[in-house]
Amino acid sequence: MTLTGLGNKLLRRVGLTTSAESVQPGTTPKTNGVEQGGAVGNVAGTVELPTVEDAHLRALGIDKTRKEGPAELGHSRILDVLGADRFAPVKAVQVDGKVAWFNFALARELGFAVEGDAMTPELHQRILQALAYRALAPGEDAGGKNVVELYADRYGGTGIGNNEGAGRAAFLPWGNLNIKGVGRTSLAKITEAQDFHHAHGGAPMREGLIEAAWGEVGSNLFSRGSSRILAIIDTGDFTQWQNGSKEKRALIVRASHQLRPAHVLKGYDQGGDFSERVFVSMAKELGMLVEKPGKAGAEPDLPATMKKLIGQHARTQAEQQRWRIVHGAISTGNMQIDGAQLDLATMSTQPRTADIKTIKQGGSFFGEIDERASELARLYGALRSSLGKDAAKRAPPIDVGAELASAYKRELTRQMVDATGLKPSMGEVLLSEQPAACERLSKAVQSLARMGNGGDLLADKRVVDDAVVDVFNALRGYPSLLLEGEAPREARVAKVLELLRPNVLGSTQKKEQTLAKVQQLAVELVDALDAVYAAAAAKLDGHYDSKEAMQRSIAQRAAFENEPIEALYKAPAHELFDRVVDEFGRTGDAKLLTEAIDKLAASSVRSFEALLELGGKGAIEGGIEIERRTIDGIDHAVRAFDDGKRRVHLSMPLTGDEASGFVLATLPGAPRLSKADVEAMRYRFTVDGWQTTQEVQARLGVDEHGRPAITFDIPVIKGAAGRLEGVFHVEAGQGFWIKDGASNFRGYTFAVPDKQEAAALAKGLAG
Amino acid sequence: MSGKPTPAAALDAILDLTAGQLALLADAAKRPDVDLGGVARTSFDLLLKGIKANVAPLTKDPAVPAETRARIERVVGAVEAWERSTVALGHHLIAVAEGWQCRSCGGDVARTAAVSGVALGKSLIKLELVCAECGARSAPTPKGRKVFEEKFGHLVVAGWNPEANGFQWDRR
Repeated sequence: MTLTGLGNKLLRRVGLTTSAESVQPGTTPKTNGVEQGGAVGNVAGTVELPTVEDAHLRALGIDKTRKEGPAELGHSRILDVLGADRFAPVKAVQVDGKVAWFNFALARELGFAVEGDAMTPELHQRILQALAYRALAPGEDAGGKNVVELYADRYGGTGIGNNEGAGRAAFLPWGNLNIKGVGRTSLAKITEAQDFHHAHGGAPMREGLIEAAWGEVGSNLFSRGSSRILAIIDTGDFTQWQNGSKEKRALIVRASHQLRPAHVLKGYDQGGDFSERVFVSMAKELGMLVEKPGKAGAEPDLPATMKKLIGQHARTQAEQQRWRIVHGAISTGNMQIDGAQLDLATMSTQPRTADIKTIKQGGSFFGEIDERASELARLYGALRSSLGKDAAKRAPPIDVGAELASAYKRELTRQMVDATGLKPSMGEVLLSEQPAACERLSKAVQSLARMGNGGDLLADKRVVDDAVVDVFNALRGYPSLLLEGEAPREARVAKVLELLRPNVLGSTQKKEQTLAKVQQLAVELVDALDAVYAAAAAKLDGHYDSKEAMQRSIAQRAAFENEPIEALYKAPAHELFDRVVDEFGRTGDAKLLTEAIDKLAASSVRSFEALLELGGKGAIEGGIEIERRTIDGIDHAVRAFDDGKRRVHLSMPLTGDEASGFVLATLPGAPRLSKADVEAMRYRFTVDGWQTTQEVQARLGVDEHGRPAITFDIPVIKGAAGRLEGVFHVEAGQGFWIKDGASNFRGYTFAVPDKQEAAALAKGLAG
Repeated sequence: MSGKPTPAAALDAILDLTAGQLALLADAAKRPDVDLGGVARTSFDLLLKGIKANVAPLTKDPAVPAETRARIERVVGAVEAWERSTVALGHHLIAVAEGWQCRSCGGDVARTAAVSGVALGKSLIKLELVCAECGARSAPTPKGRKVFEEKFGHLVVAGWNPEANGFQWDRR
């Protein structure tokens, strides 16, 4: 099975083209991997950098044609993109430890040879050899253990004190993998007295859990994606806090291109000799470089490139608004230069749209765009400062704040139109042909969203639910009216008012005034929504199978995508992760982390489009199979047949035979069942969080590889989306078998394509 | 799931099952997006099935005292009676709808089933599947009808409340 993560189609949709770009400066000669007791890895400066054509690999920052290291992962592109002078070498030694969490799907995407998702002793050893390294102290003897050269990246900007870049993290030469908590690097200048947390060189394990969960969710929610965690490795180390308490540390192995605005900077806001080269190189690497004709051929158009990058950040910021997310600690280094998310430990979702912060000194839900503008302005300022007297000509001033605000307004309108439940393809049409209707809708949603009650909005230790109305609940529930037939406008407004669930605080007079405003804005929202839906109905050909199908699709998407992401409210999520780390510390049970991270991530994905593209896909007899993902040894997929049928398909490979019994080899404990047991097996499942359950009977069949398998087919309707959780059980023969334990509930989040979407997916497979 | 059942093995299996279900419930209690009551219903149901399946073979074991065997038979009978009375449409809807296609839109997914004429008995009661796509109702296939009669036929007597088992019902 091939897992492709964020699909190429989706990447193309957001502007990450797969076409070849201009050549890169700098490359790395192929290294030979780890040698016993020796040092390997190298970074060179100015050799021509071949372009990576696959957009997904570019997002991961790896060159698969150049295998390196014990796991033969692709070469780390960041080393070449930034160039040797932008790294400080870190001699590191392999350490023993326990893989507390491993991202099997990401490992496969990176080219790690992993079958299934079971941790075997052999795999555990391979992971440690490939990923578990810590910095050697000056003069420290490696004791005959594997030694590699890691690379700490140099950067400047805000939020790093007087550090000169990565003070506790460094890149492996392979996989573009960054080990956080590697130890204090030579770029760490901050002292423990100044900032103990960032000075000791370690990373708390809890941060790994938070980043792991958010990485998976961010990859689903954001067009530009997010950094992701490949592994959390427990080396038995602790941070001893000054108050005497201990905090468990880990090596946190992070993937993605990890190219930051901060890489262009030196110090707080200055550029250097390297700044233009690095800026251009990063933009080229990510398909964002704009060129213009020059005297000696095409040359970088620096302001146009900057504006393109600003556009991507505007989209990310608008997507945050749409999913009700605050980053919390935007800085030059806490974001990737193309708007992809990075450094996720302060992120939070929220129930409504209060102007929350997650740390006191951070940006707020509505105010974070200003932080982003400020950091991007710092980037461009540093670039300009590096150009000296050429700056006025080659990089004339840009009003970054105005550019971002303008792009943000456009992107926000796009996001609000998508939040109505319309397909993005239809949204594009409406944005182009009915811009006034779309802008009116966006304005109506924003006016309601921004109604606040004031008060303490710090959502660090508690869930803040103080917005006056729940506007996304209105977007979530309103389309169901479309399915119930024509209702008078008065009834529609009443319905929206009910869905808005006003929560008004203050004096009686203030309450009356606020409720009157809510009433007025509810009318506006109804009219704006009706106008958008009517415009869509007039243009449905090519987007939906029929008017009825469009109404169902809108209702299903709006209900799925606008559901609050409860599991990622910062306060309870961090409490959960603290408990899990404590329990892991006591028991050493890695399953605890898997349960917490994977379950939380599965319940938090919301983007229908991204789900359609997530996981492996292939042709099957009479249709296609998409969204293939293996969870706890059980293969899941969505099947779309040419005759219109849709099934969620589950499969567990079987070994053995009728005489000796069948073995479910991919399940924990490899249970052995008789043929009668297999045939009597049932799957009790839910797609609504266990409010209701259904059951489906097992069948003996074959899996996608042609191997014998137990299969289950759950009929689903086109346009549906949900999260499947369930329990397998058998009540036959002598006894009762159940695949129990919380692992049943890790969940498979799916989206079901309609006819148009299935045809497009099939076309993509054929092409 | 093989080998001769023994009281010790049955007890062991029941303890394992109980611990597993408690773990599920504890996990569900931590999750904001899960209906704990729904998980509890499923856990209780599976626990009863597990107890029944593990102790029922002991009624044929002469090594088990007669009094205990009789007690086991009573418990197994009570569980079976409970299962018969609470059998949920959701657990058999896919089987009842197998091979069915909506006459109105051609869809093949049933959202639920509706009954009418409860007092007519299991062979005459009107059974229709409700299309998940368009909401139209139409009869299941003969095979689906047979599944319905097998799983729910014992309930179809005057006084039955089909809604308690998950059916739509027009009160007739």
